[in-house]
Amino acid sequence: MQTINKRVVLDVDRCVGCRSCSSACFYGHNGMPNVSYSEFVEGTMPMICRQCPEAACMDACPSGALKKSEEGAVVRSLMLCWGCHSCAYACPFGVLSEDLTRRQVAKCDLDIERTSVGKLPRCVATCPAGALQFVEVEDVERNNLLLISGRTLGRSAYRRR
Amino acid sequence: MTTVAKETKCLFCSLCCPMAVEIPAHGEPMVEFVDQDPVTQGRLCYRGHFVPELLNHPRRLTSGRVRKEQKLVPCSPDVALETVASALKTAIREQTLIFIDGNMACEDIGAGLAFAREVLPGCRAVVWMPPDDEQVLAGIADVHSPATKMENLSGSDLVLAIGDPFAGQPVIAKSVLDAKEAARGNQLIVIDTVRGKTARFATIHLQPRLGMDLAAVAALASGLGIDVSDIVKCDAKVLPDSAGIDASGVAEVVEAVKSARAPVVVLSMSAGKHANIRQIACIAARIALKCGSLLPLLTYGNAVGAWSFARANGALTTAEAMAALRDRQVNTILSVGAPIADAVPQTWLQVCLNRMSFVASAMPMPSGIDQYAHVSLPLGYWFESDGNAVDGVGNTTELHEMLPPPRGALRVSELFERLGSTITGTAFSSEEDGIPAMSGLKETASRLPVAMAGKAPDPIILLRADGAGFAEGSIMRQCRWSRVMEHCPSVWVNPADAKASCVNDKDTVTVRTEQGSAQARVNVTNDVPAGCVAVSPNFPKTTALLDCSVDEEGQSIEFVPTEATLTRIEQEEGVYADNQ
Repeated sequence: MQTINKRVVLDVDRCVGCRSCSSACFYGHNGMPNVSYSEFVEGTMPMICRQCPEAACMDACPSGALKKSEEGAVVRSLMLCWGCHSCAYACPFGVLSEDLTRRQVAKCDLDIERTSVGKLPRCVATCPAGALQFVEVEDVERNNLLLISGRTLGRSAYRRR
Repeated sequence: MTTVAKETKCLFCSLCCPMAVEIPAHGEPMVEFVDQDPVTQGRLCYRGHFVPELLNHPRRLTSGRVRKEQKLVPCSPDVALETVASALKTAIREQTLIFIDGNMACEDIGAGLAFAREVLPGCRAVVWMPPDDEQVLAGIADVHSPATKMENLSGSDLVLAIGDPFAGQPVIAKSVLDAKEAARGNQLIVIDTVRGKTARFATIHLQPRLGMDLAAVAALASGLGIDVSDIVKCDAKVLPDSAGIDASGVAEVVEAVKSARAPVVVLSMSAGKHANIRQIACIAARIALKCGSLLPLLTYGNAVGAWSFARANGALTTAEAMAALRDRQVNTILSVGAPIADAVPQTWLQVCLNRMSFVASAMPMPSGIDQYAHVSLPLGYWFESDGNAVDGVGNTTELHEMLPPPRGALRVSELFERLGSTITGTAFSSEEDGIPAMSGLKETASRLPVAMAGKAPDPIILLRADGAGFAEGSIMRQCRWSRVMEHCPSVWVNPADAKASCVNDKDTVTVRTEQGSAQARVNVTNDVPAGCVAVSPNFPKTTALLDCSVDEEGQSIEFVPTEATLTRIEQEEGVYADNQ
């Protein structure tokens, strides 16, 4: 397996809060959206997992359902997860949330089925505003993309008034 | 067998984005992205992902249903067809109304109109469109302003958005934001009564009072030297005051538009949020004619094609059809694909449908009209047959069949052909030659002058919000994602109104208007101005709270903002049970 050295990042200056990424993820993961949302004064924005190198969620999981895949993503096993929410409490960025239908915790797996064959993750491919990007980990620092909980922040001061 | 990818155009809005569906030999179909498309680069909004689910939806109708002892009982499609044919054969032609949904391939619409014309001469036919689409098209029809495509937005230095395009047609967001960021000084100007998704990105947001959008647009037009006296019966000098906006703000926008090199007017108006949509659309088209170009964004992907077919064939408008129902000129209905009872769920329409002597509906899935139908026929979706559609700027685009309709369900043209053959006893073919150009429009239809009162509404006003809802009625509510994301209706309330009404965020309240009442969950937000609450658009129960007004002559149909009260209810009573 080839390690995926890319991450999904969100340009907050472009997100229009349409939730298309959630729809794409929902249907791509058999009815379980791995994109959660947060309400801000400026609207609704998706919370994207940043696939931490030392993931607190993985350490907190008592059932061993979360593990790092060969491709480099922290993935969750549906068979092992019993929905205790320990990972959600442990996540310092608040991106893990309970799935409403299955009572399990949804976890971004970087859409490995697609990314492992060179395609974009569904959430990135569908993003109507071009807010979600799939970038090399090194590019994040090189291009001065400031990452907070998987977000890129303000590159251009005049983008929004 | 291997996985097959089939491409078509998405008809869930008038941008007609290219999309593909991968159909594996085993397993579920899945959306694939057409990333080689130069305009959208594969981007799709949330609605595009519904197509694979709808192809194999567990609630798809595959048999006919006939009403027996107050219930629709399954029967074979042939029996249902025979029942419909014999009822239509004996019905009084002048009192028979055929609804043909406008969001189908032009060939299917043509088949329906040919059926009405040749098989049931004397009956009335309507190509059903959402009221807001019809009003926008009626408004811009005879202005002949230059239309622009989404790809041309990148060359624009000023985008004037009337309404909220990022909410209704999110795929346009990248093009608009790219245009705004292409050079310092480029502008995105938004005219919208609430602070919607587009207004958050605006360099200038003109926020008129509720119901006074027309005054704001007319003030801008007057500032640009455009005569709108045939539409707005009011002194141009008082228009900014009527709209409740600062005259200097209007002057700033006028100056920006005048100095822009290639301004584009983007028109995206959802019903219930804007009053006088037809008049606003007409003035917007005049602004575009004088200063730049127009990009109308419509709810139906094939709205322009449907409109053209309807006018060229002398079909009724949706407003005229609703007026005919209201005035008791109809007693027999055949509705093919038109979600009339879901999209216009008002009590007065329910009363009209209840007194029909015969109602036949053809729908892909169970819908609101079922409770009035005597016979129901299973129908295919637009992505289950080949054909052509016309996008929002008049370009013809090809639609391709993803999969054939499920066994038992009929394609639209097949349904009309079989009905026609059964009624006439001879083979009936519905093939049309080509798609008529957008012509034959009623010159006088777009005027409808409005007198401006210049008075702000005092009570809390209810309107439709721009949440995730869009394709309200059957499709939106039957898709799993929308039910998970928004499982009960919400009502947006300004913090000041929330305090005055003693309601808090996440409370369950009863929203009451003259039209009725519905339960909804409170979302306290500054996005709606004080004195205004907004409800989710994709729940028929909350849409029914608005006043759906059809004028005397049947010229216009609009969801009008309505007075409302909020009453907090106990949590035990307020749990919303969505058992649809």
